[in-house]
Amino acid sequence: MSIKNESFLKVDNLIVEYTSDGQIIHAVNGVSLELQKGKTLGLVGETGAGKTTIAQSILRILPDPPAKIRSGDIWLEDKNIMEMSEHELRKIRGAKVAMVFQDPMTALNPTMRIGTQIADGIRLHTGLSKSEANERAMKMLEMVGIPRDRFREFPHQFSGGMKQRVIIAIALSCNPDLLLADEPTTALDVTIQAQVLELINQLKHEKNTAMLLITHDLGVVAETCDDVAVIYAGEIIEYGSREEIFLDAKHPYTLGLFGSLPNMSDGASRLAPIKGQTPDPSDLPTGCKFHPRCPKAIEECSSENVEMITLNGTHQCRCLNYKMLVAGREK
Amino acid sequence: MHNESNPVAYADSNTGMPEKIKKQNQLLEVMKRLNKNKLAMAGMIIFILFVVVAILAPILTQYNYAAMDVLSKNQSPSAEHWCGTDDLGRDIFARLLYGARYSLALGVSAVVIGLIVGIILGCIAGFFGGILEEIIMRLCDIMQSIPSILLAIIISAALGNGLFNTIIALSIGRIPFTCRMVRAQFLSQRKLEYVEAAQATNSSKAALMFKQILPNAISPIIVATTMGIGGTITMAAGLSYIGLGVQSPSPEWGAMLSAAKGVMRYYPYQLLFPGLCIAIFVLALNLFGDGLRDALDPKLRN
Amino acid sequence: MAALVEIKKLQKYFDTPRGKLHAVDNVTMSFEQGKTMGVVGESGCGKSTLGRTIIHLLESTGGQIFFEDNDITHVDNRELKKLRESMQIVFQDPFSSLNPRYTVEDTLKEPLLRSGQADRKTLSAEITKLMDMVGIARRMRMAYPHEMDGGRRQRVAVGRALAMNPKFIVCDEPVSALDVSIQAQVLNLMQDLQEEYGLTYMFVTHDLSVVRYISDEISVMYLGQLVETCGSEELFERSLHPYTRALLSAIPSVDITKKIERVLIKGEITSPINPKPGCRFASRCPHASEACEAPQALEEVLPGHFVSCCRVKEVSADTLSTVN
Repeated sequence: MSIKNESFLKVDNLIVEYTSDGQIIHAVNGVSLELQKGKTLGLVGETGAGKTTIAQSILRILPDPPAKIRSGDIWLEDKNIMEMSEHELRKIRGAKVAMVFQDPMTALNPTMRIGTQIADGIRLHTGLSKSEANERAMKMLEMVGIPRDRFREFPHQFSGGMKQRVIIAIALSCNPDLLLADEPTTALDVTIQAQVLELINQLKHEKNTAMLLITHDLGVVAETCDDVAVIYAGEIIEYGSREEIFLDAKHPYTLGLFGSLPNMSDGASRLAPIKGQTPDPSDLPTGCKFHPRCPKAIEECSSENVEMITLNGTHQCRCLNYKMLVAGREK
Repeated sequence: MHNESNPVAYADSNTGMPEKIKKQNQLLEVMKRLNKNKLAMAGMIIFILFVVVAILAPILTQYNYAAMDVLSKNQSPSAEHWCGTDDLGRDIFARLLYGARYSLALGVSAVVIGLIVGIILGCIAGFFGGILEEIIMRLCDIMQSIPSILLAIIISAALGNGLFNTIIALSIGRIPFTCRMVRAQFLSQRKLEYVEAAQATNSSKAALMFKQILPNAISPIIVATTMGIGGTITMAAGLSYIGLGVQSPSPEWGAMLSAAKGVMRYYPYQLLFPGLCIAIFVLALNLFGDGLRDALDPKLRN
Repeated sequence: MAALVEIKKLQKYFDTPRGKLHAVDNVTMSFEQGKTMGVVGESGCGKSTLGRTIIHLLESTGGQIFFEDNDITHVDNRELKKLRESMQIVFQDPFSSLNPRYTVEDTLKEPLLRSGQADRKTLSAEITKLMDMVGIARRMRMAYPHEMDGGRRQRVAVGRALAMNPKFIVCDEPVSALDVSIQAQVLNLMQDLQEEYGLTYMFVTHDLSVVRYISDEISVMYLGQLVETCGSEELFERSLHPYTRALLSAIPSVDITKKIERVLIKGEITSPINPKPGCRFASRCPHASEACEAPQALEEVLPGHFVSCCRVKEVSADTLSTVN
């Protein structure tokens, strides 16, 4: 069976700014990415890198003000999300594109029964009657491993892991083509995380859903993603397949991230953290945004604007050190 | 131990970084932030104006607020009597000016007394819990089950007229309110880890209460207090209006309203001026209190 | 090496409207001087409560605590004050563990004075020394917590603990709330301090890669009970308790060349309120049997390797056979 490999989701040069107290915060600075149907792209970065902003931009749920999408296009199949009306957007949110949020404790309405929360979404996007929607909701609960007779219970009666599973059920209840998962397992215990990741993978395969997984946890990325985009200060600084990133990372920041990890299989005696702190998004460094902390910075790094350089096929990197390398190779 | 041999280990360097973060003068900071809020500033200026006027009353008017001149009674505002005279011939402007003293005294004293007693009780209840908390909270419940104006009336009637008695009557009603607020703040702050950390570093109980928790609990209380002054002044006026509290010849604004109510159809100015004073003063306090709350939050500092 | 701190069958129960909550139940542990004991477990296992009970922020319900061979289970106020100078704690949340109205200087000032490490005259110099020790830039001396990022705040928290000149520090998930690159900095700092000052750490965390890196010995807890304890490397090479094995296999690994045999635990965690006697993991354990309903004992199955499981010999037969 051949799967169409055209891009299902294409983000092109997205720029998002926040204004706060007269200052401009450059949250997302020219991000481009692509996702095929049935594939998972991991968006990895630390706090404040801009990952959640990107996800919210795709769904156009950024609070405006203070956020503003300055430029960029987001193509969902063949339609441009930037040009859709609010009416059209409401049709795709929850149905074609669904989002799983980070904090299961607060993402559910505490005064509504969880069955209702699932069924409401179903009724909104399909023409099903109340009883049909309820039946489908109960099936979704079973699919995520929750007994269907818990349909009428309230969120506070569920543990964190179960709440997250309910949220996944809600997200998947209308068979979305694209799932945006924002740190879906960060707040969970590691054994529950394993259950939830297993569940997500399983459902993904069954329904051929494309997934954008946002996380700071490289381990989670290694387990679930086909491709990886590493984001720093609102820019993608390295992009590649899972093998390319985990076995052959190139960008100094990516290498720094791996070096900061206390490795499970390695008995390293000392960690090699990245010196300094993430830059203030209202006052970003000139040239390469990572250069003040980079052990491999050269003079040009502070002045030149750095483009994404293709290293080979799918592996790209935003680093001047490789510009020379690639240029040299081409000669 | 200085790890110059491994500078990468530490994020912070002492070189090549921007200027030192100075300890900010809290008051200056608050003032600066307050300054951005024009309405709050207006409220504060009006309040200060009232205070100044109250203090300088003898200079601002040549009349004695109690001097009766039956021949010039019930005169409309004129060059001689800027706000006219009342039915005993007393200059209303003078009475307004001196009345400011009474309102301030009543409002501020009652609130401050209620504040201090309330804070102490709230601290004890919130910090120690247990039976002590139960007793204090039930006392508050009892006091709060009576509408505050009624409570003030009962106490005022029992104690009798006069400035001092009225202050007591008004302050008692404020105690349960402040006490509850402080206790609520204590309950939420007490759970935070910095309190545990202070315990772990051998902080005494008193230090915990007053140096650690209270400064963090104080912001909403200050705001409520500022606005409380307005409410208390209104209540004081109310007491005087019905014959309790402060009475003539003392120039309390509420008493003046009361005196004027009988003749308001003929001499509306006698009602208008004291009424305006009360309204403007209370409004100014409320605006200021609002702005103060925003200005006091250190997290808004950037 | 002698144990600096020891606990024997320590219990901490809480009274709740629904019954007695067994947060820590019969835990026996020993902390060697100058070493790090990692305590791992998932939510509700009682590891944070254990740390707080040992240093007397909470009062124990039963069992014994020893410090330098003295029984400190019950101490009066005067002794407690003295004890606090030897046993300190660093909390997880770097924001709520600092007083939002205290600058760095304020936070460090009080413990320095109270522990006698400084007096009025030497205070300023001691604060500078402390800040340098934990790597806080001098220009941040007058900064408030909200003006600093998580990593810096955590350094202040470490500095505060050190200001009391302790011998034993309970580190309650000190890096869990920090970004990965900052985590590494703070972990390095803690290691350096341990080496320099011979500190003894009880390092509580749920992150197994962190605990492996920093601990000499590890104890695994589940619902208030101690299920396994042994040397750090030993745990990762030869875990014996079914829960530990499941826990280790659940960790997502960045090493994509290794295939992990994942042991998925079924079901949800049971309630710690009025629990039945016996192993609390039994209801979710793939190897549970009737014998598991009786209270389990901590047995030394291999030298220095203690497990609390009646069926460990059958369950981990494969691992045990490789040893002999």
